Formats: sequence, structure tokens, C-alpha cells
Amino acid sequence: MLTSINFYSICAACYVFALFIYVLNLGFNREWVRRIATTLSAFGFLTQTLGMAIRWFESGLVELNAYQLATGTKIVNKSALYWKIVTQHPPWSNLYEIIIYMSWGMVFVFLVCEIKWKPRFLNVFSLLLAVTALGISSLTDSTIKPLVPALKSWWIMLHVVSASVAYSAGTLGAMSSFLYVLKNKDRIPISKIVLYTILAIVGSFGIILINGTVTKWNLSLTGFLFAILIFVILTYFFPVKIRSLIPSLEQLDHIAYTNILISFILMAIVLVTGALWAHYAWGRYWGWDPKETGALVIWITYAMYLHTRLTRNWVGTKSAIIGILGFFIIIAGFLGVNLGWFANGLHSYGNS
Amino acid sequence: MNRLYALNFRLFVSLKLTIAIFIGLGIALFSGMFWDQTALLEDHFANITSPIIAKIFLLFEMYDVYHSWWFGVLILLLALNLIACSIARLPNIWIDAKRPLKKINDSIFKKASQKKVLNVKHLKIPLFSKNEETWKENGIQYFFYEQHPFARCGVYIVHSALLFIMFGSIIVTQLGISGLMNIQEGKSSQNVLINNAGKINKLHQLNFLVHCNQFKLKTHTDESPFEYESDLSIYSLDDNKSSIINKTIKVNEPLEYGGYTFYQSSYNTIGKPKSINISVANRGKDNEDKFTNYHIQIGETVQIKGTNDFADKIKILEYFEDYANFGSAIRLEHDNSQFVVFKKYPEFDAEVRNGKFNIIFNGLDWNFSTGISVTKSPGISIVFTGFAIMFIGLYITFGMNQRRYYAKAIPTSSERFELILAGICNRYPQAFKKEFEQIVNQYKFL
Repeated sequence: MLTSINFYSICAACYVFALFIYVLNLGFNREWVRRIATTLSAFGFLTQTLGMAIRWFESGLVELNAYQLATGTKIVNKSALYWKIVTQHPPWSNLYEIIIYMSWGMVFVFLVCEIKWKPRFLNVFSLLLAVTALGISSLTDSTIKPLVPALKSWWIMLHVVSASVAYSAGTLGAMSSFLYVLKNKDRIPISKIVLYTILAIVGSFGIILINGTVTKWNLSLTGFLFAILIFVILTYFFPVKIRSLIPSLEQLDHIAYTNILISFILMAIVLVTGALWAHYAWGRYWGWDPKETGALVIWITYAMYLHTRLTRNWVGTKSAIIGILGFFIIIAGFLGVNLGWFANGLHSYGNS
Repeated sequence: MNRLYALNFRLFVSLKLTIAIFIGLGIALFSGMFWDQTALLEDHFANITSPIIAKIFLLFEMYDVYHSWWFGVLILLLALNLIACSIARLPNIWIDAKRPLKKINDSIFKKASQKKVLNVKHLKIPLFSKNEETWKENGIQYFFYEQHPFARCGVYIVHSALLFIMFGSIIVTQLGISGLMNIQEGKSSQNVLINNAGKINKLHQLNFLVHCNQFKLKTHTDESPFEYESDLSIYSLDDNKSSIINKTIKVNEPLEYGGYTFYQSSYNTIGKPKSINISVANRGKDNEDKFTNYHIQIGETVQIKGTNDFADKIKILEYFEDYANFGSAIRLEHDNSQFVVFKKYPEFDAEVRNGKFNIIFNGLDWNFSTGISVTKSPGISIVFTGFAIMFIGLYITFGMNQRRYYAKAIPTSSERFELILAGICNRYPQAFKKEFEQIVNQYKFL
């Protein structure tokens, strides 16, 4: 029988092919080629959604078995209790599932942007992230374990769904801001390139130093930093070619603003649902848990982005830089907690 | 004095201050993430050797950043900033929204983000919308239409929601209580250990007794908890015979009494295990599910229920925490043979061993104490009201878009008009541009 992992493999293959076509199309630049790639990634997205639905059911069976073993009672098929237990374990409750879910959110946001605005490069970047996430997930422990008692709550649904889309939209906003900065300058001075290189090297070693060891996470984060660096260097050597391929400034700014605004509103939902859940489950609506605090920092960053734009008229490079900063705060607030950069808290669902 | 007041007011209204507070808050929040805010002061000082750093650490209360004086100052500044901005800007916006200047003049035309001067033959009425206002003055036809006039107040609704949340939070942290109770099975307690990051924990005395009648733990086969619950009763201090309230609390299912809420949060085992729990069933098709539970001490021999034979006795010889990496196990003696039963593999005994009975090792019986987190949060309703207001405000701010359309039609000859169109919109300029172009395009072929 097909398991969720089969579906995830098919979906990863679709994303890789779509990514390949998108990259080729940067030079080729044909509308029908772009459509093929978009259709392919949409198909991959559907497969992933189906895979997650199957994973949900698989987790439900594990829960059912665990319930029967732990309580020693048999559950009648299709009774109310049966449905309650089968559905209580959504496919976003451990690190493996969260990574896959994040890539799902990333592709979801990217597909919406692609259909709405057809921006070049953004599709490549988002698919690259999604493929990396799926790649890392294949190295992560994928066994389904019964939920810990604290997570058996309906709040987990809304809380995590909004978090995934919020982080993905923020990431896309940051990518768009990054392209904006590249496009806005006629020529990047060599001093900036040197600065970026030093920052990338210091940043990647910093990540490894903070974490103590080299893990796949460090490597992929470092890889991502260097991928950005390579892109910046390419823009330095082929300024006219690459800049002509980057979408227009107006469009990039619009995409960045829309995505960050959506991320801001969804982060508010994440914070509030988290607070309500914590209040009803543990009696405290806010506990300064590192991940909670990280989410609040992201929210504050985006609040700053919106305020500077509206009242100080920081449209353009200045606001784009805050947008880019948001991505690093997302990485620190979302991944950093799981990678053990900060003190441990409630949200550290494994670091393997 | 007035001047000082004006200076202060100007400072608090400025957006520079807002941005400075945002940056300050971001740094403060991040710095708190690096230190475990739940650790004791001694734990922190175990890692700090330099006396200067220790002094700075104490001065800035880094063991409890989020309740430190400087974090409080930041929050206070933010609150003042929010209030000052509302006082400075809201009245003008309100008056403008209530009584907008409807007649287009040069300054409006100059300010407008979208404008067009057309020469048209006849007007398409309604020009902008059914709800538009139109009037004639000195032969000139004026038009005015505003959509969502009060949407600009949404920002202030969000800001007031934040003030609600901050105010509620201050009440919760100042007047509220958050701590832990550890109660042994069969015992009562009225003491709550208050969490006090970085400082010595305080005791809070309840004015009633909490009694734990029973603690039940169900585990998975790998001994991780599946579900745990405490059967609690509450007694008044002078009468401990009849309970006021009884409830079984689970994780996510608390008990509320006297303004306090009791949450099942953890559990501990006390002392040595009481006994070993095994289930035994007769073999054979009819008896497979008919297990009987036994609680036996190590070295104790029991007669299996429903049998008289001397051979139908079971004796537990030894307990292993981890038997050859297969997890916890016990060695038993039955019918002159010794064998091992594993907790992780309940079907192992039935498959491998011959004999009259199936034996399952359920685990150890412990004396438990239940860990209950106790909170009292007055003012929490203010925080939640703040949440609700915030979403209403966010919807008004970002979901509704205030737009103003102006027009005037000046007859130039007997048949033609000069139509001056203008539109003002602060948010989503691209969408507004398209909308405005649609209106203009109606006159393209006329």
C-alpha cells in the first residue's frame, strides 16, 4: 500500500523538476515553459497535501493502537470516540512533520504569488527552500509516535496552520525584498561584495559555533547563506543580464508588502491562539518561552516594517532591508529554538 | 512648564521613538532568549566567573529580563507613545472623517494620488458609486464619494487593543499567582510554591485544602506517559470531613475553584516501588482476553486465582531496569522453571514460552505525588478583550480601505464638459490606480 512517504517522494521529484524548468526558463523565457513548471509544482503540491492527509490517517491508527494498549479497552469502529482519536494527531506534531509542513506552506504561498504575479527568481528561491526542507526531512526520524498529553488539543490545528503560512509568507517577502535591493542598485560596489562574503562566512561559522557541532541543519543554513552570496556575486559580474531578468521594482515592492502584511496578521493569530491554548492547558497565557518570544520578535519586526512604510514613507531599499531582516529573525525564532541556540522550552520537539 | 510639556509631548508623538522602542524591545526579547529565564540565580552564577559581568548581570536583572526594571521602562514608553499618538492624531482624523471637505479645490487636486482632466460630451451618472453626493454650485456640478470613511481609525483600535493587553498583563503579573503544588496520593496541602525566576521561591497559602484522592498514570509500552489524571477534592480549613468539590483533572482539563485554577502538569514517583504489576491469563482460545491483575512484591509467591495446584504459583525473583537492551523486565519462577518477561513486548511470553499461563508484565506500582500548577489570573479577561479588539482593529485597518473620490464638471460649451477627477487613497495604491483607471476608461471613446 502507498504510504505518506511515497507521496512525499513523488512530490519532491515534482518540485525538483519544476525547479529545473524554472531555472532553464530564466534564459529561455517562454510563457508556456513557465506554465509547465507551475503545473508541475501545483501537481507536487497536491501530492504533498494528499500525503499529509494519509499521514494524518496513519497517525490516527498509531493513536488508536496506543489508546487500546494503554487503556486496555477496545474501540468500536466508527464510534464517536474512534473519530476523536483518529483525528487528534495532525501531521504537524514532530520535527519531521513540521519540516514537511513548512515546505508545504512555502509552496502554497509561492503558488499563490506565481498565479497572481508570475515573478521570476522568486519561484526558483521558494522551490529551492521547499526542496531543501524535503531533503532534510528525509534525514530526520520519520516514525510516528503517539502525541504527548499536552498536545492533545484542538488549538494545535489553527495555531500551527497559521504559523506555517505566516513564516512562509514572511520568507517570500524577504526574498522579494532581497531582489528589490539587488535591482535597485545600478552596480553593487566591490566593498559590499566583500562585506557580504565576510558576513556569510562569519554567519555560517557562528551558527556552527553556537550549536557546537556540524549538523545537517547547520550545513543547510550555511548552504543557503552561500547560495545567496553566489547570487550576489553573479549579479556583480552580469549586472545587466540578471537585473533585466529580475521583476520590476514596483512589483517586487508590492509582493514584499503584501506577503509581509499577511505574515503580520497571521503572526497575530499565531500569538493569540498560542496564548489562548496555553491559558486553557497550562494556566498561563504567556510564559516567555523562547519560541513564543521569537514569534513576538517577528511580529514586532513586521510592525516596524509597516509603521516605517506608512508614516515615515520608507518605501524602497530601507523597508526592503527590514523585510530581509525578518527572514533571519524567522530562522532564529523558528529553527534556532529547535537547534538549541537558546534555552529550552515547550516548543522543542526534538533535535535529531 | 508649558514648553517642557510640549517638548515631552512632541517626543512621545514622534515615530522615531516608536522605532527606537521596537528595536529596544527586539533586543530585549532576544537577550532573554539566550538565558534560561526559569533557572535559579545560583545556576546562572555557576557559569559566570568574572565579577564585572556578574554585576552587570545583576544590575540589568538578566535572570528575569521580562520582569526587569528596564523592560518595564520600555513597555511604559511604548504605552505612552501609543497614548500620545492617539491623542495627537485621532481627533483630527475623526473630525475629517465625520465632516470631510467635499468640494474639490486646488490643494486637494494637488494632493491627490490619482487625477485626470477630461473633456467629455456627457456624464455617466453615477460617476463613482450609487452613494455618491452631488450638487450644483454656480453652474458647476460637484461630486464626492468616500468609501469606508472610518477605516483610518482602525489603527487606533489596534493600538488601544495593545493597551488593553498591556494593562491586563500588568494586573495579571502584579495581582495574579502562578505556582506549583506537589501533593502525595491520599494527602492534602494548602501550600503553593510560587515561581520566582532568579530568586528564592516563595510560598503562597491557599485558604482551603486540596486533597489528592488518587493519581492514575497510564503509560505506553515504552513507559512514556499516555495519560495521567488526579482525583482531587477541596476541603475548607476547619471542616475536613465533607468535601466542597470533587473533580478528576487531566492535562488540558483543569479544575476551577475560588478564583484559582488547578492544572495537571506533572507527576513524581516517591520512594521505592510499592509492588510489581503483572497480568495472568489461562492459555487457550476461550481465555485469551481474561487477564487477572496481580500486585506482587519481589520474592513474594502468589497462588493464581481459580487454581489450587501447588504448581500454579508464581514467584517474582528479580526486577531489571534494562534487560539486555530490551527495556525493563522481570524474572519469574513458575512450575519449577525460571523465565524473563519484558514490558515492551507483551506478546513475547505467549509466543516463546510453553506453559499453562500467559504472563504480561505491566510495570511497577509506585507511590505518586501529583504536580499541579496553580494559577490565579485576575485581569485575564482584559487581556482576552484586548485580543478580540485587536482582530477587529486589524480587520478594519487592513480589510477596509478608505478612499475618496472628487469630481467637478464645468460646462465649457453648450454640449461639452471639462471633467476634473481626483482620488485620494493611503493604502494599496496599485489597486486604487487600477480602480481609478477603470473610471477614466469609461470616457475613452466619448
